[in-house]
Amino acid sequence: MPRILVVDDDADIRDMLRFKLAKAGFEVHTEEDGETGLAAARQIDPDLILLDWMMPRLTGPEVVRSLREDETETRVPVILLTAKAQETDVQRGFAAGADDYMSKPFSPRELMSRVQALLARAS
Amino acid sequence: MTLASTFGAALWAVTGLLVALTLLTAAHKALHAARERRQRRIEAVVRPALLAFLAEDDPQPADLDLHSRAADHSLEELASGLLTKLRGEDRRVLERLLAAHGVLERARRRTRRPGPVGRARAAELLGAAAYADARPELERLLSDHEPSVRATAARALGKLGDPAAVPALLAALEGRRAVPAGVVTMGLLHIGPAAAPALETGLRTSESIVVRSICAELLGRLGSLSAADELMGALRADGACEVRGAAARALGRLGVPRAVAPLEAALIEEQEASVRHATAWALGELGDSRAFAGLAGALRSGEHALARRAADALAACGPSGMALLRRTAASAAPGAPEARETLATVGASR
Repeated sequence: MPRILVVDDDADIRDMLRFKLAKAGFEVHTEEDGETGLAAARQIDPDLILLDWMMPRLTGPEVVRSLREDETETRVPVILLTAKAQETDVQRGFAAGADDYMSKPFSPRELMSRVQALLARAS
Repeated sequence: MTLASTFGAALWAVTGLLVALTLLTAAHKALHAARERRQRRIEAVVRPALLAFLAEDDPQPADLDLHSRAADHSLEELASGLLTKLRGEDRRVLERLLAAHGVLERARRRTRRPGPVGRARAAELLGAAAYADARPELERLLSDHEPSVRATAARALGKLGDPAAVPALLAALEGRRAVPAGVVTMGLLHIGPAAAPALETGLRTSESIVVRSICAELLGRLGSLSAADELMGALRADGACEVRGAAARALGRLGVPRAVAPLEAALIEEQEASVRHATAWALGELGDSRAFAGLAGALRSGEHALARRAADALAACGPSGMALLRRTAASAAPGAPEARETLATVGASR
């Protein structure tokens, strides 16, 4: 069962994704800020991470950058979820090491398709 | 009765009153806390039920069975929080759910509440849920005596996406209870290109300068190409310089080649400086060398702001425009400083 880590300080989004992903058959782990998210990513070794951009303590791009510095062989796919939708923000997200990007408000169904596609590509 | 006994009775009365007030306050606090505990208990049931409902592949409103008015209230709180965070089918599922549980019809009724907070919250929910049936209530709230309610109603009407709301939004720009132009403009932009026909009518028929200006500006921002003739007419003949300027900017945004001649004519013949500036900017957006002569004249006008815009526009007109800028920059002719400024900017951006 693929393991997905959801990191978002918005409880509504975190819980909704938890329910959606669990219903789709994923093992879901949630965290509510960048620092605990980074620690969880190092500890639970997820197959994919859904990451909010604006969070307390560490931002999404900072978390991805730290993860990419850690990585040696396997690269965990990361999708950034954010209200920042400017072209330069998208560029910054990808430059930090994100694999995909979705702007808020978002479509959970579209997100699920992206999750499936990234996991298929990673495997 | 002696003075001492009167004083004693008054003291007793004050003490009694204080005790009664203390008891009343304590009872009120206890009731409030009990209500909050009850609401939290209900929310603890409704929240996972709602999230599980949304996780289904094809959820039907009847699948979410809530048995009390308090649960519906909790559903409203949770769902309205989620509405603004979602788009696509999940959002539509939430909208259908709120409609099916009567939440939106209750919100319609709440637009008549005596308290402005209640009216504003109802309007916000109706807009977030894009509940088209609530257009009459939201239009009524545009003339609410409370400014914040009027602004919320304007934003909510925009979110309905219904072009039928355009005349009411335009009317809200004026009068004793006017809604700020920025709020109305955002609402109209939210309606999108479907608003264009009503905006064209507003530009053609409104007696208000503010309304005609905003109609012209928005027709450009919404990319309404079919409004080009109407805008050219306004640029040529509208009695208000604000409207002529807005029409020029709109034509620049639309990028319609046949607007070059009327824009150049306005650049040469217009008396109002603000309109000449707008036409120079618009010609720069069009970047069409046919406007060369008019722009060259504006560059030599000796009026700094106009000459600078004309220089920018000439830079957008291709090699012939750049050549004129270089010749002017190297001379002592009027327009030389502006040509040099533009060349420096163009050079820096390349």
